[in-house]
Amino acid sequence: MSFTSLFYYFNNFTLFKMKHTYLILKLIFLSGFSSEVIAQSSFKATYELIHQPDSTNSKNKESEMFLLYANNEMSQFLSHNNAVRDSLFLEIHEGKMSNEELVQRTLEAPRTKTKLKVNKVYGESKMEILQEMMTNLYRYYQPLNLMKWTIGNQTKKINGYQCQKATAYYAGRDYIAWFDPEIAISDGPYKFYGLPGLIISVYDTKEHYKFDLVGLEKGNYEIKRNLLNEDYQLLTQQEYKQMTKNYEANSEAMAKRLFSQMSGKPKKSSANNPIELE
Amino acid sequence: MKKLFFSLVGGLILTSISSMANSDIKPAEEMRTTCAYVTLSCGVEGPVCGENQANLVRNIEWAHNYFCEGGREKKLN
Repeated sequence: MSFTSLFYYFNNFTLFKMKHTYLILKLIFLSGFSSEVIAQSSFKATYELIHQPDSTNSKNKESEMFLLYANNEMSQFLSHNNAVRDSLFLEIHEGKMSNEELVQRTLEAPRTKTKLKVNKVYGESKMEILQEMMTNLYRYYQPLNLMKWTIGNQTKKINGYQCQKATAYYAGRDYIAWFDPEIAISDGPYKFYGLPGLIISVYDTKEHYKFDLVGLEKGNYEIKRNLLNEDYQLLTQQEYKQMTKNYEANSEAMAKRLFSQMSGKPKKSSANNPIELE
Repeated sequence: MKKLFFSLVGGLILTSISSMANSDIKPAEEMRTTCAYVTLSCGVEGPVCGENQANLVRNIEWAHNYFCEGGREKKLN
């Protein structure tokens, strides 16, 4: 056997050994740790929110699409249009946009009325709520398990998912949730969390707020708690509620002052129905 | 040598003065705010300002909500 053929033989044998070692390791990994593989996979769930802004007018309903990104460490819930808006802010932070382009992009961008983001940090057993109020940024924390769920035996199929019923009371509303125990993700839209399966549909008994799962995709999604590293002022939930009341009381006066040089009269609002009543 | 020294120093002074004149030194007011003229979808128009470009975006959105949407900033809280 020549030196060259010996070399090739050795190389092929090494490759053969490497291939087999890889296959064996892969088999061990898939069989022994399959649950871990699923737990580590990331996903994006899309929910449609149908909402009644005026509690006295059931004929007027509005809808908005929301996204729930999740991996094994945390999840982030935000409106689809807010995610689009984030990309505009990223470009602004690069500092290459003229004011002219900025105005055009802002006015043309799909609008969101929900600038809230909910970061559920599983390891810390808490959720971080990021909120924009006018131009100010606030954050507050709440425990991850906010809702005490009662799981019933009733089941039904929703959009192809075999769901089980659960109920809970939270912040002045009674909720009904339908979750799929086959999807081992204890998460859902907004602050809803803690059921033994992904929430497919959740709504309050008056159906003023109804979230329905309309899409579920697997992928590698990077989740950033604070995408632009902006300075969110830390408040307690109580302080945040007080701040909201102050803004509601003073926002018109602030807007009048800020937009004093703009022509036209402000439109009257009929919104009186926040998701959290207490 | 003296001539060479003075011409070098003089050249340096002139270069620094000219670079200072060319730099983007703006008045304090200009640095503090950035403004733009906007026409909202409901026809309202006028100047909107912000401390920086990100704030300008937020104020344009606020103006839109205030004049065109009835001031509703959020539906979830």
